[in-house]
Amino acid sequence: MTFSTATWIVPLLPLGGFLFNFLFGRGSRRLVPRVALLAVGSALALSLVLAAQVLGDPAPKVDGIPWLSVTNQVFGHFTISVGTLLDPLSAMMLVVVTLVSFLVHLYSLGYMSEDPGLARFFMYLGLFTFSMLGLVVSPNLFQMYIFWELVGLCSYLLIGFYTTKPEANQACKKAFVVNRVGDLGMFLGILFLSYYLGTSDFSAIAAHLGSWPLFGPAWLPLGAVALLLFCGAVGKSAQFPLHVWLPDAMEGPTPVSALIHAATMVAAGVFMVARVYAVFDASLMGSVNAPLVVACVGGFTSLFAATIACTQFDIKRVLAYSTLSQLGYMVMALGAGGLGVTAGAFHLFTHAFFKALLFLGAGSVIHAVHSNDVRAMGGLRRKMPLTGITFLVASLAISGIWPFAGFFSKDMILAALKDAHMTGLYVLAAAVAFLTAFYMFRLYFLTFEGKEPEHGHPHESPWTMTLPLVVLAVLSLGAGFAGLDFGGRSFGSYIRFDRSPTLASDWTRAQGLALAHPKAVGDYRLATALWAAPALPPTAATGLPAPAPATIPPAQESRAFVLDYSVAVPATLLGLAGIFLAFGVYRLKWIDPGRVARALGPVYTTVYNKYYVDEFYRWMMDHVYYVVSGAIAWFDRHVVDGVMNGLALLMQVAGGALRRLQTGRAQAYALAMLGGILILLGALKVFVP
Amino acid sequence: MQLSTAIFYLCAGLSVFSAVRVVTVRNVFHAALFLALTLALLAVLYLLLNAEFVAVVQLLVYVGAVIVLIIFAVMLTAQIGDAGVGQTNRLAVPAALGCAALFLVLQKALLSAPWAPTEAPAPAAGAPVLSNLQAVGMSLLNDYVYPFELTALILFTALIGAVLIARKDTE
Amino acid sequence: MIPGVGIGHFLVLSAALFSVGLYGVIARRSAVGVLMGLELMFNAANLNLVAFNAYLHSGAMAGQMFTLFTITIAAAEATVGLALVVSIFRARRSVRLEHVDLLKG
Repeated sequence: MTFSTATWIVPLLPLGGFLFNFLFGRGSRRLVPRVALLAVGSALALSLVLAAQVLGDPAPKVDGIPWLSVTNQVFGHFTISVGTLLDPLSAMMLVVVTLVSFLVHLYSLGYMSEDPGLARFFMYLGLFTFSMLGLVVSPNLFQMYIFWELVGLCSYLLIGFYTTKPEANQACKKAFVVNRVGDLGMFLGILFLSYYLGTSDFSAIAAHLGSWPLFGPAWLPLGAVALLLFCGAVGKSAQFPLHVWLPDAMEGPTPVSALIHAATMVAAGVFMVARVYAVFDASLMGSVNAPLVVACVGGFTSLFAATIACTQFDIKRVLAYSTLSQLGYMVMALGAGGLGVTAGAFHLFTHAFFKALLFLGAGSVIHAVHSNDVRAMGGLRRKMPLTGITFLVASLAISGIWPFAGFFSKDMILAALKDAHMTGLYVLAAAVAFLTAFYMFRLYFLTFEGKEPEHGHPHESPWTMTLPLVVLAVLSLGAGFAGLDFGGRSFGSYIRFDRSPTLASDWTRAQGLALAHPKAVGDYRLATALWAAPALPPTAATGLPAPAPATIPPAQESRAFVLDYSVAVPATLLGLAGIFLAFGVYRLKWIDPGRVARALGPVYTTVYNKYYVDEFYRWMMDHVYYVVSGAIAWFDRHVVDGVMNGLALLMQVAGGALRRLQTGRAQAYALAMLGGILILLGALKVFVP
Repeated sequence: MQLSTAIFYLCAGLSVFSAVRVVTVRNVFHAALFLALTLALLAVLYLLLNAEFVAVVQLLVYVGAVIVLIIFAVMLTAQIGDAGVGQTNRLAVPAALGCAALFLVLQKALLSAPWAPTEAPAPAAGAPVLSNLQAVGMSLLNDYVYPFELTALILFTALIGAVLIARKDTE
Repeated sequence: MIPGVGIGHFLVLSAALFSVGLYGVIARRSAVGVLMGLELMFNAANLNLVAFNAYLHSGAMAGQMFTLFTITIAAAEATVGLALVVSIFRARRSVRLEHVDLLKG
C-alpha cells in the first residue's frame, strides 16, 4: 500500500464507521460505540504507520483526482482537486487527531454510559473525526474549506448535544454564527488568493507568490489576503475578538470539549496558518505586515483570556479560557515567523495532550461530583487519586515546568519571539506564563486539595475513563522531548517553514517587469508570457531599489529545541512563582481571595464578567446592528419596494389607459381599421414614387 | 344628351342620395325603404350594362327577399319606437371624415388608372348569338357548375344556422 | 354602350356607395342599420364587377357570374345576420351595438 492510498484511507475509516452506524446501527448502545471505536482505532494505527514512514521520508506527497476544472482567459487552466497531502505537518496532525479522538472515544464509553443519546453521540464523534482528518490531509484551500465547515457543523451538533438544555442550544448557535463571521473572511481570502495565483494547492502557492505584485491587484496587498485567511483562524481558533463562542461551547459534553474545543478543531486555525505560512511570510515584502498583526492578535488573546481564567469558578470555563490563552500563544508564535512556525506547531502538538488530559480529568471530576463549580469541590485527590495525579501532571505541563511537555514548547515560543526581536510580546508571553501557572494551580488546589465538601460521595471513575487519563499523562510528560535534537533530526527538522530562497529575487524581477511593461500589470496572460520569457531585464536596470533585506528576519537554520538559559530560567521561575502564589492563596490561605477581589473592585468585576465582550456584542446588536438593519429594511421596504410598486402602478395606469382602446364595440374596431387603411395608403403615396 | 346617359346620371345621383339617406335617416324602417330604392336603382344600372339577368336577380333577391327580411327584423326588434333617439353613435364624425377621405383617395386612384379593355375573342363563325339570359345559363351550368352547387350548400347551411340562432331556447 | 359614360363613372359611383356603406357600418347605432350599410358595400362591389365585365371583358361572363354568387352569399349573410340581431335582441332587449360590448377590456 502506497503512502497516498493509506492517506486516503485514514479519514475514510471514521466515515465508514459513521455511515455504518447511521445506516445499520439502529441506535444500539452496544454496537455503535464498538464500531466507532474500531474505526478510530484502525485510523490511529494507520496514522502511526504513516507517521513512521514520514519520519523516514519527509518529502510531501500529493495525490488527488480533479474535481472542478475551469479553463478561461484569466487562469488558463485552474483545477480544484480532491485528494490528500502527506507531509510532516499533516502526519503530526493525523497522529494527534486520531490519538486524542481514540482516547476520547474510549473515555466516552464510561462518561456517557448513562446518557440516552449514547449512539447519537458516537455517530457525531465519528463524523467529526472524519471531517477533522479530511481537513488535515487537504491538499488545497478549497478542500480544506469544505472540511473546515464540516468540522464547524460537527462542533455545532456536539455543543448542542443536550438538546433539551436551552443554554446548549444558544451556545451551539452562537458557535456557528461567530465562526461564520471568520469563515467569510477566510473564503474571500481563498478566492482572492486562488484567483490571482491561479492555484490553491498548498504545494504550489509558495512558488507563485513572487509574481503577486505583477499579477495581483494593486489595491490588494498580499498582506491583506493573508489577514483575510487569518480571519478564518481567528474564528476557528477563537482568537479575540471572535473568541466568545469557545467558553460557551463548554455546554457540550465534556469529552467533546476535550476533543474538539481543546485538542483538535480549535487548533485547525493554527494548522491552517502554518500551512499557508508562505503567504504570511511573503507579505513582509508588501505594504501590510500580516505576521505582526497575527502575533499581536495572538498575544492579546493569550493575556486577555489568562486574566479571565483567574476569576472563573466553573472548572470547564477556566479550562476554556486557558485554551483561548494557549491558542493565543500558538498564534503569537506563528506571527514571529521562522522558528515561531515550528514552535507554534510544537505547542499545538504538546497542548493537545495536556489540554485533552485536563478536560478529561475535569470530566472525571464532574462525573463524580455532578457539579461544575470548583467551590463545591475540594480534597478530591484522596477520593480520586488517579484523576488527581494526572490532573497535576497536566497542570505542571501547561505551566511549563521541566520536564513536562509544556516546558519545551513554551520555551521554544519564547525563543522564537526573542529571535524575532518582538520584545513587547516576549514580556507579554512571560507574563502569561506566570498567569497560566497561577490559574491552573488555583484550579488544582480548589478542586483536589483542601477540605472535602460535606455532602456527596465522589469515587474514582471506571477504567475506560482513567486509562485515557494515564495515557495522556504519559504523553504530557514525554511529548516535549520530541523537540530535542536527535542526531540532526528533531520535531523542528520536519515541521518547519523555510522562506523560498528565490522569493526576494522573484520580487525584484516582478518589479522590473512591471516597470518595463506597465501594461502587464494586472494582465495575467501578458504577465505570464513575460514571466516565462528567458531574457529578463537585469535587476540593476530596473532602477528600483531592491527590497530591503533588513525587513526580513534571517532564516533560521536549526529548528531543534535548544536550552537557552536566558529564556528558560526566567520562564520557569515565573511558572514556579505562579504555582507558589496559588499555593499560598488557595492552600495556605494567606489572604482571602474574596478580599482581593473586593479591593480590586470594578477591575475584578470587569475581568470576572469577561471584559463585557459579550455584553458589548449584545449592545452592538441592539444599538448598531438592529439600527443599521432597520435603516436598510426601511430602505428596502420603502425605496426598493416603492420603486417596484411604482413600476407596477405605472403598468397598471398604462394598461388602464390602453384598456380603453379595447371598447368591445366592433364598430370602433372597424373605424380603427379604416384609419389603418388610410394611413397605409398615405404611406404608399409618400414612400412609393 | 342621349337617353341612356341621362338615365345613368339620374340613377347614379338618386342612388347616392338614397344611400346617404339609408345611413342617416332616423327611422330604421325608412332606412330600409331607402335601401330598397338604392338597390332598385342599381338594378337599372345593371340593365344599362347589358346584364339583364343580374338586374332581375337583384330585384328578386335584394329588393324582394333581403329587404323583406330586414323589415321583418326591424319589426321584430321593435325599436322603431325610439326613433327620437339619434341613430348615429359617437363615432359618426370621425367615421364621416374617414369615409370621405377614403372616397377621395379611391376616386382619384380609380380615375387615374389606365383601364384598358381586353380584346373580346371573336365569336366563332356560325356560332349562335346568345342572349344574356342564355349566356348566363350556359356558363352557370358549364364553367361555374361547382360554385353553383356550393352556393346551394351555403344557402342551405345559412338557412339552418339562421333558424338555430334565432329560435327561442327550449330548455 | 352609354354615350359619355366611361368605366370611371361607374367606379366612382361604386366608391361613393362603398364609402357611404362603410360610414353606415361604423356610425349606425342599430344593428339593423349596420346590416344595411353592409348591404350597400356589397352592392358597390357588385356594381364594380358588372362594370368591369361590361367595359373590359365584354365577351366573357365572369363578372356577372361573380355578381350572382355575391348576391346569393349576401342573401345568406343577411339571413344569418338578421337571425343574430333577433337573438341579441332577445337576450338584451336592445339592438343597440353600444350595449353589446362583452369583450370590453
